Amino acid sequence: MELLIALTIGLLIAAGLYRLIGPTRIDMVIGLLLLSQGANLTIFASGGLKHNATALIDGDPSKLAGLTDPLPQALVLTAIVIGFGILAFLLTLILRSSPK
Amino acid sequence: MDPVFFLLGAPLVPALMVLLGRGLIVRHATLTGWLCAGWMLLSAALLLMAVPGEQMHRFKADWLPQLGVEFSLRMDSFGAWFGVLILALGACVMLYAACYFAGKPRLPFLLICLSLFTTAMLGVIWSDNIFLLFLFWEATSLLSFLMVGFHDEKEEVREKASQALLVTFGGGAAMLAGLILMQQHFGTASISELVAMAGSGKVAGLSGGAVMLVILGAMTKSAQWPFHFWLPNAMAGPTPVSAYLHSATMVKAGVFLMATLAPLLAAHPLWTPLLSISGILTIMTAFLRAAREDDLKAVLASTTLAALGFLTLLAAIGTPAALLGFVILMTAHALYKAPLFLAVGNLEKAFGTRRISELRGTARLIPATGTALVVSVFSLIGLAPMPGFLGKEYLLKAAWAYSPVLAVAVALAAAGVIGLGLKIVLPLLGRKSSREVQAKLPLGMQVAVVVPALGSLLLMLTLPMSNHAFLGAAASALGAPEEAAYKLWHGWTPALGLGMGALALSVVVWRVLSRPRLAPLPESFAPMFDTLFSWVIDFIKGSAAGVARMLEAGKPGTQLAWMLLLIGLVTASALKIYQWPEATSNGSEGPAALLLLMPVTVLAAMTAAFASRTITLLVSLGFVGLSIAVFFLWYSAPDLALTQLLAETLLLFLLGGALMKANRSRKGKPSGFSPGRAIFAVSGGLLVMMLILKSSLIEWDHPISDFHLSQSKPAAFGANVVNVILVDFRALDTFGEIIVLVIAALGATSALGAARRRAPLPGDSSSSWLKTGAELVMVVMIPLALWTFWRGHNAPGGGFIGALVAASAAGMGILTARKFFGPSWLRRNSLRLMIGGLTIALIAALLPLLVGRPFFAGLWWHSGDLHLGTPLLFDLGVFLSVLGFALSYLRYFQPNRI
Repeated sequence: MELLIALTIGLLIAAGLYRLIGPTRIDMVIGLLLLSQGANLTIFASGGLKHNATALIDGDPSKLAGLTDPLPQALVLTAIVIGFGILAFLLTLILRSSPK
Repeated sequence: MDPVFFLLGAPLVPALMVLLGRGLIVRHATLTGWLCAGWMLLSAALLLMAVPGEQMHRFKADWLPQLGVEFSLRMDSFGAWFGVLILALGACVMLYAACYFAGKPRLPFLLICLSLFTTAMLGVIWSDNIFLLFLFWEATSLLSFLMVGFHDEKEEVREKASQALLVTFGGGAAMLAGLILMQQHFGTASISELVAMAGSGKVAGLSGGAVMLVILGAMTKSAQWPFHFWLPNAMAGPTPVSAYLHSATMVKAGVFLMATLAPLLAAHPLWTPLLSISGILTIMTAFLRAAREDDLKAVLASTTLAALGFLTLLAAIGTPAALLGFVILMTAHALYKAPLFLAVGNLEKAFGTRRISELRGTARLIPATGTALVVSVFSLIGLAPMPGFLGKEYLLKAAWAYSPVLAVAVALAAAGVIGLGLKIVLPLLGRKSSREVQAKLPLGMQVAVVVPALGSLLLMLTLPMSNHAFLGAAASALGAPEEAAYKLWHGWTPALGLGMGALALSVVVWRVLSRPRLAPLPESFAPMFDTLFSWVIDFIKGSAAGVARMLEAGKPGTQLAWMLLLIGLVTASALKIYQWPEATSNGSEGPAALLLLMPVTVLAAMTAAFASRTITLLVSLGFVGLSIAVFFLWYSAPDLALTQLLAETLLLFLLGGALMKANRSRKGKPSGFSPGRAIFAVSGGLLVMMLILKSSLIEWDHPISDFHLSQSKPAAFGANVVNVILVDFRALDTFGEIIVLVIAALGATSALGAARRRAPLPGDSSSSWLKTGAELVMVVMIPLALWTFWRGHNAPGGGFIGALVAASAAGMGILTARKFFGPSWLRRNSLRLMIGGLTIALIAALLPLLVGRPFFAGLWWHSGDLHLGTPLLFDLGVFLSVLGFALSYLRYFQPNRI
């Protein structure tokens, strides 16, 4: 099970790296995009993966133990938004610095 | 705080004054000079009162106590006396500088540097902590660099100034290492405690490396052989700066440190040999340099080197008698060297040259300066009853007591230096003047020369009094015998004999030096160490450029690859990559979804890696993002899935615009498969895979997550724990994040200028299907965004997601070229949204302070099932700022309308 996840993330990272060191600047952005997807998945998976255990509390304290770990989720949520910000910034830079 | 330490900040007052009234300063330079000088002299006079008595003034404040770094000051009689010299000479130098550069626009800069420099120098001598001393020490190096490089329009000056900086900074770095070693050995960083350990035998175990490193720092600062070359080069600075650096400050810091540590370290086997050899070689080099020199200022610089050599020698001996000699020699040197340099400046101003051969008989034409110059030279050559005489006598006495051979060597060296002194002064005293006065000297420049020379005379006239009050007190504080006192006459001693012998011999030296055959300075007299220094610098520069060329290889990708390779190697070695993890499970569930998802993700990622057509690339990236969103959804993270989907949509929108533009300008040439890149990428991927497998084995406790889960409902009134973490438990993080986003948006706007060029989007958006559909979608999406935001606290949603939904609606508007979403509307409103959002978030954070709760604590208002609180207000701030952020980027991407 973990092997599958690790393999998927590893391939995502490999695809990202291949793009990242490519010849053009757009390559770099696409590489970074793929890398950040892989990194987000890594953090998310580190909390343990549970199906049907969303961290929504319905008032029953006995169910708490079975819920998924919300902390990595909060981290990844901000990571997605920040990653979006960085990539948007990069894209703008590239757009403006490229010749007409 | 002991009020005497306020004087450390006293020199900052002129700096502040100059800073505030720059224009006035330039117009009324002379007046400024007098004011600054008056202030500094007043401080010196106040400080003078602290010299007598045996009291040790102290001040201490913690700074980094864990590392032994403290802001602690100490001032004994010696420190106070040294401080008086620094402040008093600083007064003369500032007055001189103000008159010298009157009306020049860069005068304020110089005055500020001089003021700061004075404070830094006082800091060096008053620090009680070796690390604090180091900081002040480096400050003097930096400020002297700025002052030596005052005429920075000349390339030569810049080179010389940076040489001084590199030598002294290099030495400073070595010294820091040495000081750390000393702290570890002695267990304290306090100078008082270190000095108190003198004679305890603890020094025996100190490593030679530590001693050598500390000595290296002191030697570079005081320009001791083989680092002597920077000081003559530093004459590239203006006259007042040279006068200050050479007399009471900068170079004196090195010998000061040596003398302070001498009682402790003289017992170390390396101390005396290293320092005495260096000192003697410095004197010899100085003599050789000056022997054929015709430039008055250069000869003076060499005599400074020689005097520093003598002071180093005294510190090398390190006996109480030697420290007694140190104090008087240092005082004498400071008091005669400053007026000498300033007098040379006056000569140059009055006669337009500083060549000795062209200045014959000129001293009488400018009587005040001439007299001060002669008096100072008398002190330099050690004629009784000048302070220099005392310096020479006590130097010889200490040397004789240590070793008669050394004393004879010192006497010979002294003869050489006296010969140099005669070479300076005798031609100037000739009866026939070779030149006419060309320019009148301002009063301030004459006063600045006369005052220190007068100080020399006064000190000697009042010797019985000053001996008791100042000189003796200072010497005994430094470690000279108790009740130290200086006597002009102490019988027929060997020292007196050697002194007389040196004086007699010096006449011979002078005769030899003044022979015309020797006079011209051959061009080939290339200073050896100077050349060596530039070789080293050139080598470093050359190899750095070579390494940079190798790493960059013209492409940013190559440089990135090198960096990633290094990171990868470090990770790989830390991971023990050769060991396969034993077990690979942390109890994750449900392979069913993965078995379906994985091929999609991998296939899409592979396509994205190799695709060169824009549409293929966009679609494959979309699939990657989509499959990850499904993955999030399957594994109980609906918030993540929503965020991922929306962020992905917006990103592809931007990327599409950028790609189209790139293709238009590049005429899309597909880049072929590169095996090197592939190998690099695959090994990186394998490494990350290993990392995940190994980390999944770690079984950890998660008390923080448990706390969040259990407290979310009772304390924060929210059922959606992820959202509660974002807006309540870890709201400060989120606040920082939205600030980063806003800065990124503002940065793109301001750094890149107004949006002139826009990325093209499909210009032909006249499809009525799209127009109608988009309108419909927008109508639905904006309420949807608000609803998503509102429900966020208890169900998947929240500020981030709501904002992204709203931004997608705006994207639709831009895509279909709605009038409403014009560029200027977007620019104005994105800025408003961001600023407004940040303000609301900040208000939400600050409100609890009003009722005495901590920053970011949640305040709640309840009405039945409705809970309203500051976290919701904060979430609104997040919503608005993220929306503003997204809009500010979307506006760069406009369809080609016009």
